[in-house]
Amino acid sequence: MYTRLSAPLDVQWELTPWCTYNCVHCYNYWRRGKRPKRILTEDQLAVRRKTATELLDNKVFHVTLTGGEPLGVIEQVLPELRQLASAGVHMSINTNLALMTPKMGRLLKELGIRSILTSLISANEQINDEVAQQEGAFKRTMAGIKLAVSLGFRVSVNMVVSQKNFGTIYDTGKLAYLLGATVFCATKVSKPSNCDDFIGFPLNREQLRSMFHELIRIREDFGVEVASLEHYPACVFPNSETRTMFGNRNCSAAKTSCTIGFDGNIRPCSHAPMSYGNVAEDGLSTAWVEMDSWRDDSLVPAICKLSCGEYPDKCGGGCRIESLNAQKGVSGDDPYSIGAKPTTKRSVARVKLLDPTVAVQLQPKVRFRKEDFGFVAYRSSTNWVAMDTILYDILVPPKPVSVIDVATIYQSSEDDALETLSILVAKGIVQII
Amino acid sequence: MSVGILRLQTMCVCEDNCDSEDSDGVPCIDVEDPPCYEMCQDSDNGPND
Repeated sequence: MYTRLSAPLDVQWELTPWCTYNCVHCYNYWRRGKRPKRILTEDQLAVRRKTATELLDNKVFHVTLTGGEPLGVIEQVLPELRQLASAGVHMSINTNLALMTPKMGRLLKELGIRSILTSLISANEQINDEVAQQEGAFKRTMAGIKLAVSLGFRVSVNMVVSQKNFGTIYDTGKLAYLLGATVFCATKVSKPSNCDDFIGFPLNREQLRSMFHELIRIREDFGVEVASLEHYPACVFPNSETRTMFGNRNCSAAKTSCTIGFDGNIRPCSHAPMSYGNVAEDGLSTAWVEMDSWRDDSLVPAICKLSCGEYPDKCGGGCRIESLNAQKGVSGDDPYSIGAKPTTKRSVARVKLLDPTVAVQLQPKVRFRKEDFGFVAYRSSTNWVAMDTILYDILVPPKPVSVIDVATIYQSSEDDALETLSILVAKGIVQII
Repeated sequence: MSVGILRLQTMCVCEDNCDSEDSDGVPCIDVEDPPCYEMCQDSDNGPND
């Protein structure tokens, strides 16, 4: 069903299992029991060197540095990160900012990192530190956010919402806004795969719906951009407004992205416990091919495939790991789905058609990767286009391109050519000149 | 109908994803699905940032 790209477009790279905190909800399940060491061993560094090589060889466009707490080891893996940066691989980082310093800020900027996703558990200090299982966590993250904002980073604050902090969503969003966050995200907690007893943490369906409403209230009251960072089944949204705002994420696991763990194991996503190969032993390409079951519909619940009608264009069928962790198996129903066709709709903006007389030219920051079908033109994880070789040859090398040029080469109508260039402009692949 | 742009299943440029009142033949355009726990990248990388 899903085209197998030659490699992921985006990879989440877990630099370390070590973390400053020990959050009870952390999906990085390896941190149960004995806490890992911060200093990487020579063997661990060898895995990171190999990971960087594989990311480059497979022409991965974007890497999210994560962990554990990536700032704890970033200086140790600096040679590999510099290698990625110098090759044009874009990077962002998911960090709790407890270790943020001006020196760290300079280092991140040297790597081209401008965007930080951080985690703030609650505006209530006591709740925050209890969930983080670390006294002082609230103060450290607050200071880190302030510093990162003052250094000019685009900081998005994510709140993992569980029963423990559910009542503080609004206050936490307000705090994030006051701290200067560009975006406030609230994302429901997911049961860690190796956690047998997660009673007292997961939200119920109504609380999840309330979380969406709270996000909208935060946006309306403070004008801050809001988001939720996971794929939800379309049928869980209470109305079209929440579905339009928070139904924009599909499951990208093994379709456009995957995770390389601290141990080199390659997983479909960061939540997934199953590995399809090791970067040092098998390589990224082999593991990527092994993940075909994530692309061929076989893991999608029957009700989504056969009777709902929203899959695959309008809903991805919910989270496979939520199902797995709810003891329903990886192809079971997402526990938040209602098992019925949604009555809500997701509005998507119409493409703004260009003036047919304009000329466009390739945006200099667009990168290309050859694929079986032609090329992927990549601007960011949300703005990329798959195109055939003819269109690639029209755009590359960069030169002025008109509607008539495209219509002539494709022997198409000018309306079709105009639509093509309009989509490319909307996605930032070309710019009007 | 655009030319040259391929509609892989991994993409969501959907002509049929508008509200009915918007179905006047003009296609809808959506951003691609970002991976979980990833935010849109910095302003140097994308037009929506």
